[in-house]
Amino acid sequence: MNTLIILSFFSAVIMLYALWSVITLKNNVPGGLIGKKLNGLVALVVLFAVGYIMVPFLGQLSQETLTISMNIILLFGAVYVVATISLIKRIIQTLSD
Amino acid sequence: MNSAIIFAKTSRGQDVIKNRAHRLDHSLRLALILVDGHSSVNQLKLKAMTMSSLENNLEVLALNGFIQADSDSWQTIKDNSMAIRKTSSSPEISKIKARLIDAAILVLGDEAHRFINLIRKTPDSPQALSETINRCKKIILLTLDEDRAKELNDLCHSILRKAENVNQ
Repeated sequence: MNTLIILSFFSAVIMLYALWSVITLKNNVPGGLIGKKLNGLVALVVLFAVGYIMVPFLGQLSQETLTISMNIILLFGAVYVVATISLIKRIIQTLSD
Repeated sequence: MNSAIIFAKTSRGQDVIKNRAHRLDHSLRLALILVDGHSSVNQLKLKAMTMSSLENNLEVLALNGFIQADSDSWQTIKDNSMAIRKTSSSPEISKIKARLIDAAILVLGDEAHRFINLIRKTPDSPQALSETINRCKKIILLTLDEDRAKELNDLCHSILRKAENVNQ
């Protein structure tokens, strides 16, 4: 139980750091190809941060709700990966033009 | 052009209005008269709805020193003119760099700062300047705005082409 709390705590701290990083980046990059994509990434990181903070309380949910919540997080995790890869592709394309 | 820029007449611009000291096209003269030191480019557009080429006219006036923008980047240039404008050992290249810097401020407003530094640090050759412009275009495209990236690229390349034609 203690290990779970420690792991959840550090995960949440790292995710909050990620949230702070992406918001700072968004403020420095207001527009362009990166700025537009960052809007979506900020929304996803907010969702993940909320999810990570909720981890210690997930035990109180019913099994079905827990499974659905986990699957939603996993789905958006996959969306995040696709969005990041597509952003990297666009950057490389622009820089090699 | 950055539509939030507020232009004011320079002393040269005021001379033109008062003394007709410099022959200006009718449309340039009208644009110069419109510039009042408090209206942004957007507001000027509303005042001169029939003037289709207002932005171009403002660019020409600014690049020729008749008006200047009330922006931090422009102020930096004014305050450190020796450091920024005399960026190279060659007077020709120095002039081109100054015009490119003006163009960057016209299009990007206060966001022109880092591009001004890039232009300043570019080696003294038209080829290097052209490469810097392409680099700026890519950075703006990625981080600011696609339309302004294209606008600045076109404006800077036209400045370089004009300079090359004059030299030939």
